[in-house]
Amino acid sequence: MSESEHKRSTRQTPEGFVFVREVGGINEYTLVSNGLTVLVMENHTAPVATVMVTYRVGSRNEAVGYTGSTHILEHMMFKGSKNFNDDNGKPFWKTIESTGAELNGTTWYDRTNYYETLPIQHLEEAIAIEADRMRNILLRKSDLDTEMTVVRNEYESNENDPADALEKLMWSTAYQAHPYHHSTIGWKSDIENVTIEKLRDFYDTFYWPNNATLTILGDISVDSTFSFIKKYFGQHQSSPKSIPEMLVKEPKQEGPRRFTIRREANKTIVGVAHKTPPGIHADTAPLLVLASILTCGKRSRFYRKFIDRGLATDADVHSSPFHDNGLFEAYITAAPGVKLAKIEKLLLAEYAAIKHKGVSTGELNRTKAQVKASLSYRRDGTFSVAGEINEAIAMGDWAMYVHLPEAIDRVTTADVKRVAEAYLVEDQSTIGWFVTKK
Amino acid sequence: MEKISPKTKELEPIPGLKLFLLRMPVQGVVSIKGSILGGEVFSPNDNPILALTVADMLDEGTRSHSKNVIREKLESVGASISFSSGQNRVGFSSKCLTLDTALVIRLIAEQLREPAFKDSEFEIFKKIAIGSLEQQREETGSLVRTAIRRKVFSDVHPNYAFDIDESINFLRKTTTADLRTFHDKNYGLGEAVMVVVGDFDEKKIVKEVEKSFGDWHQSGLPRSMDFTPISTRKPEHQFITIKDKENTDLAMGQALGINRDHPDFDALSIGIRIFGGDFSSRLNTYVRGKLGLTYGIRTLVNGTAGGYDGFFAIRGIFAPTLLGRGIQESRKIFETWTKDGVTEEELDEKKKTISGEYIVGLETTGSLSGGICAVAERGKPISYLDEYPEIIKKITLEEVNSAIKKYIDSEKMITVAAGSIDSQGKPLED
Repeated sequence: MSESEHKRSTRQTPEGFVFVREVGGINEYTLVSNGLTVLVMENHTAPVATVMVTYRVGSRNEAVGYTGSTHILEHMMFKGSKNFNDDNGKPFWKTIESTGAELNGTTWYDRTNYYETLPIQHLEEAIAIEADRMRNILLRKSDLDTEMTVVRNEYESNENDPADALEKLMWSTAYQAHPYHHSTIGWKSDIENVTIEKLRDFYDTFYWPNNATLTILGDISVDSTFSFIKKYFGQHQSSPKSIPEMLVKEPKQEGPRRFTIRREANKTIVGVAHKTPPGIHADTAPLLVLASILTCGKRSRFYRKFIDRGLATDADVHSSPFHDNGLFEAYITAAPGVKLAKIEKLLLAEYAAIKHKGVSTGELNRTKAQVKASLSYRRDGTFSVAGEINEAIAMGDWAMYVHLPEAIDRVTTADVKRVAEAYLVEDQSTIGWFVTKK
Repeated sequence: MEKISPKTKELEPIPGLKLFLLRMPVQGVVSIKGSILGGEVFSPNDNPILALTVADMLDEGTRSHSKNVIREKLESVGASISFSSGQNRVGFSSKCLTLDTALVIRLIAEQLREPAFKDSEFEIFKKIAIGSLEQQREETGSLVRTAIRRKVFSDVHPNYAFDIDESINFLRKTTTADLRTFHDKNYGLGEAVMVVVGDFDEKKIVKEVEKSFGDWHQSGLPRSMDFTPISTRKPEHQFITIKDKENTDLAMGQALGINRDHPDFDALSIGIRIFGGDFSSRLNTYVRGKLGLTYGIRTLVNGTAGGYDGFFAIRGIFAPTLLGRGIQESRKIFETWTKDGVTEEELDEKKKTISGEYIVGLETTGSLSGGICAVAERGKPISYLDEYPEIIKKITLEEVNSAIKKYIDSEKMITVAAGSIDSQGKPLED
């Protein structure tokens, strides 16, 4: 347990809840009756609150034949629930949108979330809506018939972007057995053929209070917030069966992989990816620092190497800390006339140089300063905090929201060199090219 | 609830620069936004993208420091400065820590006042910019955004957009001497605005502004340029063929013929928003929610930020096979809206939304600095920000519906789309 984590709260625990811990000013409780995790933090900057529900289910809980189900279900969560629907005069979108709220839902590999940032006087409404759709969505076939084509069009719009298409194939080439193999939106034929029964099954398996975290941040009165939570979420039971675990392990990769996408396009992109450990692994922090040194800001290595020299129009490196193993990915969009082979060679040479010589203290300090500043920027508004907590929940522990920046602050140049040597290895690599069809 | 304007301090520490300061209890964080005149409408006729190019080159080094030195100064404290070019103004924006506020203001001033425009940097910039433009030839969204403006406005109007070939040609012929001439002639104080929101020391801010901008000359530019409203172009549809695209971008639009200061503008805007501005709007509820034809469809009112007559458009995306039906169904609901207008219930609901949005907008330094800056650039008092929800509340159903009838003409709607479709908008065969 770190210094920022405390088992004891000075605040009296509301009746019906158990206090779990306090980390970084955020208090964690459990709603005893059904196991709902509740995270609460007061922020009285403005009369506004963010309500976010994160379900610990994502596309990693799918398999071929029903890929994309989690995401389609997310869409269906906006089509009405028992107490908020078109027929009873309280349509979901109108009810919430008329408060002035910013709202949406998103799905990713390890989690699905729904949120509203809205004036504080509407907090009860937001909690009531989220609680209602946790167990009471309508899930009508007639809604699925129209929503399927909506989701298919989302898939189509993603496909229009060469970078999206390349990254999708990158993951499905790097991961063969693990469900990170398929993208969250799923395969097109699975989107087209999902049934309402499958979605109902998915909903009844994963959408339970004991598989969710409710995060409420903002200008709240703690007493009334807990009474709303108890009033609405307290109506639900915990899941009748335990939430199924996803047990698939990716077989060891035993050599480099390579693929090409050819389309009529003006853009050519090279992508290079290497396997990384699960998000909560100690090497996540130095890998994030390494990605930052390579492309965060205009002083980063790849910006200077590719953009400042006119070789590329875009350079992006990111390390993705997920629940299970991830990827350290680099994508460089070549400037017209520049060959991808040249870009790839320069990129790999930079990796080799880092493995050989490491990075400088100046580069490391710049990255740490950026992280430190970003920690302060978090205080600016409740949604950004809730969003980062959401991704930490996906990794497996919401407190990573606090602990990961602390770990980044402890990273040394030796750590960065070590992870480069450990993970940027040829046998664990996947290289993809997006090229113009001749 | 506390209003924004009484808490916002308005100063003019040096002639020609208005400084707005709003303290917020966001420990250690500051947002800065502002602008000076020198935007796109001031470009010469023979190089209409010159102002944009000048703004894009501001962070490529100054006469005092190379771009790398400036970038190092900013990135080593986790700060950033971005510049943008609008119709009338060159904008700047930054988020930084309280401790670094003076450094950021100093670097904003240095980059605005003394850009180096070095030949070597400009050559690299041109190469990247032209490369990015070449890559836009396949970007259906970008092609449609440009095409609708070209169809709606004439090429002398601030809302006209130059196509990729034209932009590349303008860029190719631009020299660093052109950049310097434009900069020397147009940049300066006069109508400059700077907004600082967050956790700061007022004395230090004022001192730094005086020091960094104090001896800068005044720009002779007017707040905006005069253009005759253009809204009478003959509808001419365009379908752009881009192969290997699973999705098609669509825009249907027309010029409004009025600007944001016109007495009918707010009523018209709220009517358009009820039609298609939100998720619960008529357009989205019908075309996406009921028919399932699209992932995204909405209306927008654009091109009004500089005070010019803007345009209204429906923007949507469709599979090539559903484009025809998407256009047809969107037109159907559009016709009903233009004919019957909106209802009292819809108007009341939208008024509530706008009141709520005002409150949500109070939460971050970024949204507050943006809101104050936009009002200040228009030359309006900051109290306008607080009064806006009340102004909207006073709009009547009759005002909204007569504005829709007066300014939206279904005969003038122009349709453009880009994707794997033929010149008639039919899907290409595989």
